Amino acid sequence: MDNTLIIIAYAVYLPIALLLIYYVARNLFRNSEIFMLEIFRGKAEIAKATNKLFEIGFHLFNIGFVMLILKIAFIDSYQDLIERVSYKLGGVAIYLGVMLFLNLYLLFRGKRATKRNDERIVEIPNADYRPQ
Amino acid sequence: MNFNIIGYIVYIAVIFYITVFIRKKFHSHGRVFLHEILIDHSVCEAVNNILLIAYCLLNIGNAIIMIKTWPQIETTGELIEVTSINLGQIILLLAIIHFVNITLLLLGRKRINKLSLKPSYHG
Repeated sequence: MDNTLIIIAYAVYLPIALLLIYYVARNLFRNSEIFMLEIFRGKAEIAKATNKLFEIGFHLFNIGFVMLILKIAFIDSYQDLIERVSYKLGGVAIYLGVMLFLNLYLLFRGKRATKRNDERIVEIPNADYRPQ
Repeated sequence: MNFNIIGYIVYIAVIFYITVFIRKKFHSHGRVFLHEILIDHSVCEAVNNILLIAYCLLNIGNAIIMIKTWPQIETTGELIEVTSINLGQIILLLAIIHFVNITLLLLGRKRINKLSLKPSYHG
């Protein structure tokens, strides 16, 4: 009996977690392309490539993590099933939220670095002085 | 049919997908990335191919070695569990290596920009 319950739990957990990852990644990386364009100063090709690389990495990382924490040791009843699966799915959702904000932080940091670089380039003619 | 064998078949299929199809995506998008980052464009293709071969070898070797660590599987629940955990480990490792690669390349770009004094995106 508990064997069937565990299979039900996995059959609910895995598709929902994977769909959640797919949805979050699609939203994040559709909107991050505009940041990438700004970071790479409007070079569309490199911005798109970097965006894609980060997207693949995000997918791999999160799918790997979700599959790694799949194991549920023991389930008594249907009530236990709902509790355990919801606990796990809630954990995955919070984890995905943290990853999303981490990504946003990295994007903002990249933007700031680009801005700082631009200011430095403007200052280069003045900084050309060399002591004899 | 033995549960272990079903697990191996699913496992090998997913690893095959990762090695063959995701590899192409890495290859084509990584080329643009490398052309942006490396100043000497003649080595881009070589670096890209070396990274590709390293990716394949690492993936296949890791997957084959991990098969030895599988326990004897008795039930369907265990089958899902063991397959998923093993796949998760390999995919997570790939992701970590991927991000380390990107970080190293970006750090290299920063250093080159500093050395040449003339940022490559203006030249």
